[in-house]
Amino acid sequence: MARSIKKGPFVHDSLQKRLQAMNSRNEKRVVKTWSRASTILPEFVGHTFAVHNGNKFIPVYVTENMVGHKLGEFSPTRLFRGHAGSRPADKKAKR
Amino acid sequence: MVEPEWVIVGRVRKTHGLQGELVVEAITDRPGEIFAPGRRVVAGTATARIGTSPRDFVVLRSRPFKGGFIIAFQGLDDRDEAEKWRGRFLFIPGSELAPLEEGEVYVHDLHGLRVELTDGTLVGTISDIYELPQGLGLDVRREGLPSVVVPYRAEVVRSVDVAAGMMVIDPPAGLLD
Repeated sequence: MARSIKKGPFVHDSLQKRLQAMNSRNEKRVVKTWSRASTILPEFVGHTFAVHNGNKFIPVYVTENMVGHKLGEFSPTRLFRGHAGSRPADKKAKR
Repeated sequence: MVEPEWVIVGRVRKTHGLQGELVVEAITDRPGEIFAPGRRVVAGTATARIGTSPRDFVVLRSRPFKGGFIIAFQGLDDRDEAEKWRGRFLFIPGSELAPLEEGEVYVHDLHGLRVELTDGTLVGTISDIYELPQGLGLDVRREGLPSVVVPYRAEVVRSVDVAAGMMVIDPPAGLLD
């Protein structure tokens, strides 16, 4: 069953407070969080979160098309190192 | 930059049908070109090594299938024979790699690069590379500190010099804390 509209999207209280404080100061700083279940709100756009995956913090730069998803969706708990691992493969990295 | 002798371009997932066709997962940015009819690939081992007895295969025909390809190779027309190649990696010679464009780098060249800040402070060395939903993440191992994952994005990574074995980053505030 979907979450009640009356409650609004779930965001961990402390995370929301930190974001509000940073937005009021117009500050950009990586926010470390363990709250993978928090929903990405429009005011998160442009911020970078370091979302814990159970082992390490994965940086997540929030863009508009991530709004509505959960932070945990961008911090996989099983890290994929590519099919070739560290071996030479015909794969380019683009910034 | 040392050009690798052999470069992985795919992996045989399984056989398909009774005519010796193979389902191949492409591990390349230009699969249509690599697995085009007439192209030669070399089958190595299932542990991503070229091994002691690599075999040359020439693509007879190929068609897309579930994100990969179904490929018929010349001289491979029996399912039992094809079954021997299940799980094996396919290679091309390093000399056949496509030339890089401005700002591009091969993922395998990033392994082991020294990472520095714009002011020259050493951060650590790249020990792992992760494919994340939002792009590549570089796991930087630091001396005496926990490793940190740095996103491979233009705003963070300022320059990459593979020949010098160095990468310069300008991380957002708090990333290295």
